[in-house]
Amino acid sequence: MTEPPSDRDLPPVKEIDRLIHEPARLIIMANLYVVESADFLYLMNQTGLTFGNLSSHMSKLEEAGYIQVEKSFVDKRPNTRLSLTEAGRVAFDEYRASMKRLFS
Amino acid sequence: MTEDVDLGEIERRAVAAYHEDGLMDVFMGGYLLFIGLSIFIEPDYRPFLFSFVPPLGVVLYNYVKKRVTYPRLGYVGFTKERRARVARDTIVVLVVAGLVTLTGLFTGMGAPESASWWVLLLNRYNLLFQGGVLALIFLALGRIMSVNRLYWYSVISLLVFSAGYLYLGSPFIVSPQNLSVPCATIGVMMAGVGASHLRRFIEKYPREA
Repeated sequence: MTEPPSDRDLPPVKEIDRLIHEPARLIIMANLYVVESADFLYLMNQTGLTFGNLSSHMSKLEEAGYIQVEKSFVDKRPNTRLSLTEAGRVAFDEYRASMKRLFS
Repeated sequence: MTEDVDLGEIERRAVAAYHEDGLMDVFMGGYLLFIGLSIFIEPDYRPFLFSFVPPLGVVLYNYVKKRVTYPRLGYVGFTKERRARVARDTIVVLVVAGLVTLTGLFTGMGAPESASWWVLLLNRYNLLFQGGVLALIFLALGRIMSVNRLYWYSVISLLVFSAGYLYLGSPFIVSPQNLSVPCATIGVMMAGVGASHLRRFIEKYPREA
């Protein structure tokens, strides 16, 4: 019986940023990549994620320094605005490039 | 999983969501209706109205967007590059179309038989020409703004102005006022489509308490 391939046998897989690779975070990053900034409500509507889910993924991406979160009040209501940081933009570009390499 | 993310499609969806409220249709339709009525009524202060209404419309549009769309759909700010490109291309299209329309209006008011062939041609088929210009404006704006509905307005403009030409614009009754009926008709249609989109938008995205 043969051993299943490890990460060492598949070098391109190692290059893939697993933080971005998770589907929900990937769609958050992709949505933020094409705009300058968007608020929490807009991302909920565009991604179909629940409040809790989006909030949890948002925290992970913020901790990694991929997104910037700004909290403010708009018309006396709390508003959370998100945007990709430069590091996030570069990481997303690299993620796309490594996925292309993996499949080519 | 696909090897790449279709960012173009994601951007198109973002733009479509932004214009899902139909406010753009309501304001554009309202402006066309205003143009139609202004041509028909011919008030003395018409030039003032034409210069005053578009910037007022933009201010009002942004205000309504802020009050109606953002609390329901959420806020999205497009990239500086996109905003600059859309603004620049829209201004170019509107300026060129404005000059062509004015040429059409002047030639439509009357042309001596000694005039150039193209002036006579514009005079003879004036409503068709104006309809073509409006259709091209909608085509260009649809392409610039990535809003597919505008392509339909392009087709509707051609149809309405062609009908207008058949019923109103025969060479025996050429009048710039004939322009008012097709303009107002398209304006009412667009505002109606916009209002219907707005109603659906409000139902789809209820405002949180």
